[in-house]
Amino acid sequence: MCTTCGCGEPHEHTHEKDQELLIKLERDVLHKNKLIAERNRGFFEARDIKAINFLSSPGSGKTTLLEKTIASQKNHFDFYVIEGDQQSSRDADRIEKIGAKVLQINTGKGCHLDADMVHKALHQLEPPNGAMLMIENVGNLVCPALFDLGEHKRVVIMSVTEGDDKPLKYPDIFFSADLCIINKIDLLPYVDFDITAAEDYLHRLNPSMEIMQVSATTGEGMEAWYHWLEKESRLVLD
Amino acid sequence: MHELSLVVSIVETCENLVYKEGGKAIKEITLIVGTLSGVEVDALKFAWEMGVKNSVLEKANFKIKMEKAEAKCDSCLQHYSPKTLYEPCPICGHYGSNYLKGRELKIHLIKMVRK
Repeated sequence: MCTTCGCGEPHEHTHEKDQELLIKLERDVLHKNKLIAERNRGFFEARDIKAINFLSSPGSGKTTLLEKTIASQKNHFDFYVIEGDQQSSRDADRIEKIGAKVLQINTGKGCHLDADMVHKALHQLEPPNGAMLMIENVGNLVCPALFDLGEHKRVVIMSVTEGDDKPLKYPDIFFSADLCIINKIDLLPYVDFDITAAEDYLHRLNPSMEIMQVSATTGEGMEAWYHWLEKESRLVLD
Repeated sequence: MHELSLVVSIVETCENLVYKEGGKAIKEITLIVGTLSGVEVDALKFAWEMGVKNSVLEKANFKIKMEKAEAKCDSCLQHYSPKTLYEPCPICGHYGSNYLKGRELKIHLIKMVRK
């Protein structure tokens, strides 16, 4: 019999109590993502690469906007594109046709890109010095907001076929963006979209946010967008 | 459902910590979640059950401490507690405040069992 506990078992069990250790960690849950994002940012800076993270709901015209931008501006910028989608390479195929170097990331069930996915994509894509890297995030107005990819600027795209109150329904993504492009303005006569209200909501969330009204299809307002890209690319090189 | 990614990230941190400290498992974990952190607590709890299976957190007592948001008005410097990211200053009506608290999402405390 065990003389310590009187349990009647042969003495193969231990009487040492498990120690408890209390750790005050205070660590950001996204700590690792933030570290990799900073690493990406350092890589971009070392190579004078401008990286832009494009966010929007599905169907707002992100890919069309990119297609038109690349087609019109490929002589001014050295475009490299990372396409994030849950499945298929349809978007990457569209971009490749216009002549930009593109890499498709399929997130599978994942609803956003994270810094590590971009990091791995960079190893394959290898954007050279001075490149303009366009990262098209997964179409989703919720999840991508939390994940820093190491980008310099965040551009969120909303279209007039969506509700003008999108900024109030999905505040996080608009709060974190530097520029909002309101797309498909050629459809304004046919839809019930109050553009003044939308701009007001955006500025409530983010008073310093730049807002542009464009139609990627007709080309209206696109000059301002190209000008913005030009200005951003100069900021890096200075 | 970015909450599952968050749980996976927490599991990774805890697995590393248990390995480093020569521990057995996590007995209790407390997160601090800001009310304006962009995290849905119900979704996080739902993701938790799936995400911690077969990990050091599988049997851990999971606690969430909510952190109330606190903002400081850029214009009149008034402190207030906004419920949304677009709530104006209650004194001067100015939008665009400095968020001092409420955006955080962090692992606060861990109780680990050591051999």
